[in-house]
Amino acid sequence: MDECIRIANLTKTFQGKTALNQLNCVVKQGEIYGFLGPSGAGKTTTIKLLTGQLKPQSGELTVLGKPVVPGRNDLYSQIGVLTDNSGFYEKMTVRENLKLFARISQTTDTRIQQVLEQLGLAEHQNKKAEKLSRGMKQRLMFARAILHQPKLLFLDEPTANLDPSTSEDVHRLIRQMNSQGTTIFLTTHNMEEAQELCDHVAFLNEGHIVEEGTPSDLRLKYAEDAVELRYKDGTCVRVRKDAEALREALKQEGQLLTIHSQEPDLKTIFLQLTGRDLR
Amino acid sequence: MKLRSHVMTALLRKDLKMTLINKNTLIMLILPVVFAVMYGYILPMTKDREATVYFIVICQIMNLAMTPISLLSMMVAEEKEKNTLRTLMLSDVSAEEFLLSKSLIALFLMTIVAIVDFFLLKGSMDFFAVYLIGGTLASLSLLFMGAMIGLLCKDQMSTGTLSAPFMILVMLPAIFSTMNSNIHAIAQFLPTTAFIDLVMRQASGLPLVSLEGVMSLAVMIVWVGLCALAFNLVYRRKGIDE
Repeated sequence: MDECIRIANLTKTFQGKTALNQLNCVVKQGEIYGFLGPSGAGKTTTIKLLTGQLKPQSGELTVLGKPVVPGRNDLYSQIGVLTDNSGFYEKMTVRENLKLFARISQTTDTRIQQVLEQLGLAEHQNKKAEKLSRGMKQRLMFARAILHQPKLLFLDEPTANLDPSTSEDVHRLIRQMNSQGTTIFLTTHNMEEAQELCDHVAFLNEGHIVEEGTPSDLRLKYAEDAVELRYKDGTCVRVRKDAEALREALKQEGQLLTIHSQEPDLKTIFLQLTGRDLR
Repeated sequence: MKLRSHVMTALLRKDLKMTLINKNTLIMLILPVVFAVMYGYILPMTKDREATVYFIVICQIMNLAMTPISLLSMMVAEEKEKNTLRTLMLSDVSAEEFLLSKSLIALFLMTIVAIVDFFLLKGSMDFFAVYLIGGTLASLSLLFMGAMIGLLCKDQMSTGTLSAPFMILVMLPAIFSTMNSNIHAIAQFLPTTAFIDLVMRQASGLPLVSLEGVMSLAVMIVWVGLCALAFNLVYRRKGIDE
């Protein structure tokens, strides 16, 4: 798989305070990459640096094979960005909003209709954007970000402040975009979301990556060296994961109800690694 | 400089629409017209050509202070306030396209208001061309000023505070320059006073190609240079959106 993003030795400071410290990571084409960490860990700063909105103190950034140069916007025709400070024209209708951005990116009207239908906005297309519900507004911003069919989509906390049902809709859209070939760089502090969506995750803490890998690999890596056995009489025992101990436990024939391995979730792993909660 | 016709067309349409549906910006445009209507009621009593020219230039000075300075800065700051500027920048719109579109819309609307005021006050066609060209020349420096204020402000509200002294500077000394010699000493170096001088000369049948006429033109050009320089300094220091 080709590289879509490469970050090498990235450092960013704000008024002497280090936000990112010698950060390194690689995002491969076609994957959903989760950049996880608590508020203030440097997630949004990383997106701003990758999209040329900020200038790093040091380090190299490559997006879609080209170095990122702040202030030069030739990258923007190939990427989509959805952040919490993305805006739209409230006094314009949903369709007018999309038409504006379609004209800028020279996208066809057919594509506007396609996106409206894909995101369930078709029946609201003549509504003023200010009249939309929060979930619908998020869909509109999503629609704007994917209108020009970007190769790479940056999503900064896409489900923050959304109700579970709308969050599920957004997850569906993310998966849909990814299945159509779009690489997704997602930041979140929601570990369930990351576990559900991401092919690869990186834990960001105090400006550097403390661990990364696929969610399943990480869960296996940090799994306890034990399985839990539950018997019909209600007793529950933990046994080490070795053949001898397991054979011994299974001898109680007819009594065994369940066997569970002990893999932690991503939240527990993060807590174990950093001692910090994900808020 | 990155300027593309399809992007400019999209931005111009959007900016025109957004300006005309925004109550704050609409007031800026309507105010000089309201004054023209009021003066129109006074004028039939005077029936004096000089008074007509005076009222026309007064309304245009108000238009010059309101539209390029206040309206343009408001248009720029509104996009910052509502996060649409960031969205445009991330959608492959360049800073030049963004600012030029807004400046052209402000210039277009200012010209429309100038024409409406002129005909409301029944101006004579013999100074119409000088009135329009002089107004446009004077507005160029003020457009740079408005764009600069827009870059310095975070929201529409703060543009009011910052643009007020600039509006007073270009409006009041020019209007009252004939009443006091001290005010005149300052006013003669303002683009708005230069505009008044040019229109008055043409309306009175005095030659434009004269030392005074060239001086007025020079004042306007120097102001364009100074304001462009100030805008450039602010733009380099602050960028379009921090």
